[in-house]
Amino acid sequence: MTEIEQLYRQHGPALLLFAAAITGERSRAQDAIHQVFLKLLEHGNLSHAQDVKAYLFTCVRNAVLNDTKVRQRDAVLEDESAWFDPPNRDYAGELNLRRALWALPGDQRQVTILHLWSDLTFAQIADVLSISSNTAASRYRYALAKLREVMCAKEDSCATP
Amino acid sequence: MPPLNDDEQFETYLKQFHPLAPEPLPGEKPERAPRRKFVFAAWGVAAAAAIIAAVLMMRPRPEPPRSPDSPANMANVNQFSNSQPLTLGDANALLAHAPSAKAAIDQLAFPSPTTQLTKGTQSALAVLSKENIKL
Repeated sequence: MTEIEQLYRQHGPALLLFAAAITGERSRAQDAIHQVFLKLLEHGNLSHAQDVKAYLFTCVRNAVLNDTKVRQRDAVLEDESAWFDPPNRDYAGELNLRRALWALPGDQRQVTILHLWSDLTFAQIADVLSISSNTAASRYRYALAKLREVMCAKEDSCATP
Repeated sequence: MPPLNDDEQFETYLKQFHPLAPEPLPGEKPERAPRRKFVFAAWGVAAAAAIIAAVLMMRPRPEPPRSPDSPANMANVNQFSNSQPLTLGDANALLAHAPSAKAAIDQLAFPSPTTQLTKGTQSALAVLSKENIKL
């Protein structure tokens, strides 16, 4: 297995989630990451990338945004295709989370996914999104508060101490 | 049920949802390709070895020159007189090893009897050959 394929297995799920969070469609997100990794396999050298993980997320984001079909229309969330494998087969919770994420502004949604499910630091997120680390951190805080509010409103009750 | 009390617990709750894996890359499974190449190479080598072995077995071996009347030569001539079908290769070998062309042709036309007659019996061919038959 090549280094690129190992990276695909390691970061593929988070990259797919990140792409789906921009497009709203899993199939288009899948196409974008395939496009990125096939190019990498063809030209196959990541030695120039200082931070390989951040570089992969940047490439995927660019591939998604270069898709004219995504740019020409407002992205719509596809309810049918899941983004997550939920704990305890909580598929209603999965849909609830997906809808709550989709309700966030796009920039906050991207920061949340990069930090929570991709384990990128705010400095790395700043690199990927071309913003400052402070902006990334504040977007995350706002996003988390909104997410909790939306999810609790949908769930009708939230666990309290 | 999402926990409300603090960010840390809420984050932990959210992290229990694992992103789904993407579909495999098109044309993945590169480990199989070298193995297939190896199998083709092995078959190629085996086929080449079989062809070389067949060629070596069919190639006539050069023999040392012998005197025309030597017993070995006569035996060689006799070996072509059997009832097996005559091939061009056999005929060439016979002509090469026989003392003369006539001897070779005689040998082909009148092969020496391979079966020994028992005492007191005669070959019908030998008796008939001694008789004068008028046509």
